[in-house]
Amino acid sequence: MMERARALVAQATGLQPDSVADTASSTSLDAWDSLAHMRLVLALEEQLGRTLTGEEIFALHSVAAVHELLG
Amino acid sequence: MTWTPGEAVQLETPRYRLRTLTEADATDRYLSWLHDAEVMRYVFSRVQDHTRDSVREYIRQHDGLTAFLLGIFDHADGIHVGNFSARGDPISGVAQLGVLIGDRRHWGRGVVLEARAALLDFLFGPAGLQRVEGVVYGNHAASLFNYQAQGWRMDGRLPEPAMCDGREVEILQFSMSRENWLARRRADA
Repeated sequence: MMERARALVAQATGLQPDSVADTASSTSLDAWDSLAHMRLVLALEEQLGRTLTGEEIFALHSVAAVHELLG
Repeated sequence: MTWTPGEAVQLETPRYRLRTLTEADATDRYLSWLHDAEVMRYVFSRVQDHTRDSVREYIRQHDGLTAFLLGIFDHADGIHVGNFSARGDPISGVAQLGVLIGDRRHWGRGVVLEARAALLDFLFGPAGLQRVEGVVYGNHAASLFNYQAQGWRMDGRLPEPAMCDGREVEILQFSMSRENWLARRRADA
């Protein structure tokens, strides 16, 4: 269920998808820094076909949050 | 750390030094940042065409009593990489923070989190403030990430959006209280 979310986080952080757990977050993954976050936002906006709001970008700090946003 | 209002501030982090800027720091390097559209993309700046004189004037506007302009310098080579500004109100105990990382080589390296932590220690400690606030364009993902990572609270948005990247973007407001910062520091220790 979380595969898409994990894949997007992995792509943004440059990690292998298998190393991104369902429970991963920006505090558990060192590679999830501000630049990775920008890449993640761009990837999500492309997937969703819309720009994210500031509140959504702020709340996007875990694989679970990415999954929820993807719907 | 002891500090007397009006004294120059110098703060140390593992990789950076933050210190009060003087007019001598109005260098071509600093000026080049202000003319770099990518660096200035998310900066709220009233002045559009900065000069050395306008930079000196901006430095002078920070009196070191309630308004601070601290340069961020890399320990490795002493190079000036960015600035923090903090404008406080001694009566309310609240300061507005701004940041500019002009040296793109230091983007994505955690400089804001590291340097701002030292700045908050100073503002909530020797400077005696109770709360600090910041505003950010709602499409500035890197800054939003840094606010979240450091435990800032999102307070809301300004009533009117602003133009950024050719479109209207909401401006979001953040704050950090002294109480929450000190609790966070105790938890980190």
